Amino acid sequence: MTETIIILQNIRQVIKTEKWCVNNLVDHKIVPVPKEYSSECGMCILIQSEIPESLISYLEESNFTFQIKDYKTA
Amino acid sequence: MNLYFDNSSTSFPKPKAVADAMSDFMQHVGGTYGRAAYQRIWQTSSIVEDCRELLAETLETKASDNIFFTLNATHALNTLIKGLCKPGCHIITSPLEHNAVARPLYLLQEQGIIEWDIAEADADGKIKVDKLKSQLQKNTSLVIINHTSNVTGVTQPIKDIKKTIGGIKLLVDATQSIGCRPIGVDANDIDMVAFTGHKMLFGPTGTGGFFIKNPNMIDSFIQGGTGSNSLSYEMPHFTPDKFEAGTQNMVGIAGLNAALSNTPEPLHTRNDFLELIEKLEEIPHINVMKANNPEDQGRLFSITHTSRTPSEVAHTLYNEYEIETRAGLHCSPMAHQFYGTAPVGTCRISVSPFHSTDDFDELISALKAIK
Repeated sequence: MTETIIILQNIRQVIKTEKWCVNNLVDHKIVPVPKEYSSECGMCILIQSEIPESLISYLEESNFTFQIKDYKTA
Repeated sequence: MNLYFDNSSTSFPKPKAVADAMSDFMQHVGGTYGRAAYQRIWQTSSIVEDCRELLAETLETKASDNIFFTLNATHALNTLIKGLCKPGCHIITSPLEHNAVARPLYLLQEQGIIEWDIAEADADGKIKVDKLKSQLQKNTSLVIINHTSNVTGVTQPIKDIKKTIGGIKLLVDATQSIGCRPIGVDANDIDMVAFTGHKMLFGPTGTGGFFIKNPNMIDSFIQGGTGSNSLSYEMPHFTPDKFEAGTQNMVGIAGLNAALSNTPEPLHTRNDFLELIEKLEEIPHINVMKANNPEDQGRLFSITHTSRTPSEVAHTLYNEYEIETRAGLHCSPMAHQFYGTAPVGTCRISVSPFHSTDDFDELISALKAIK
């Protein structure tokens, strides 16, 4: 199964993106940012399917700074 | 009876939901904003962001990203004024500014950093917008307007002022107007607004903030931890982190968030309030200081007495009638100098939606009796 995470610049962007996912019925979870991607103790959004194009559009239109990475739970 | 007429200092009572939210936060939520990755932090951070969105609705802007929390309006105004006033710039203010504006400007003027002029105004303090253009100079970079005076309640025409000054930045001090008057940030093209949470938004003390259309215009006022970009000793350049170093007042923001969702239904009408003013004007020994045009009147006004000082009036109102008002200069010596009421000031009456017409009648009776 495809598991990717969206890492955003700060908590506000995570919360706004999470709300977008809820409103647009995109399955997601809030998980800690894996340590190989950031030393921060923050949160990111785990998407357990293909990331919809509409979500990418939302992130771009909102001028969010984001990275999409493979999720590693090891 | 509600005999608390000092709502311009801080509103009281607050909606019950405010204390409930604060108590619930202390007992069941806790946590800080964005500093870790467990549910408690998520819940706390969501409250902060919900509150930011509600503030954007109140300010009538879509740019909720450009709203930042501070401890109060004074903190917000200092952040904006000290961030914007560069050497050699010329500032214009209304004649009715609070010391939260006047003292930072005075300091900058004494340091030789700025020039500062006062806008011409009518007798009630309303700015003569048609004269404002002639006061602008080549180096005028900022106009600061106290939206609603905390002495007389006179409300300034910020839409017309912004139209007149064009590209020059407008900073609106909405301390007394937010929650009472539309501010129309987007529609009126307002550059900056400073506000407090504990007056007519009915939040707790220790809450406030500002809006800035272009956050890149100023640097952060304080530096510290943000839970982001922590390896860098530089403050983050992105928002809200840039302006929100240190742990925010989470309990206060939880209360403000509840306040914004539970605006009290007024127990009196606008006409009832204007009638209160009219009835007080009929008392021979009372002089009411207010806006010339009732449409410009905020939820407060001042009174003076023909033979007693404002302090004596306030003292008697409290001691003999348990009516709480505020006498003196109201931290606005500029306004009192303008109105000619310095140094003794006035006795200020400030109402809230929690006042009924019975409360107004009690105030009228008391002032009639204090001869």
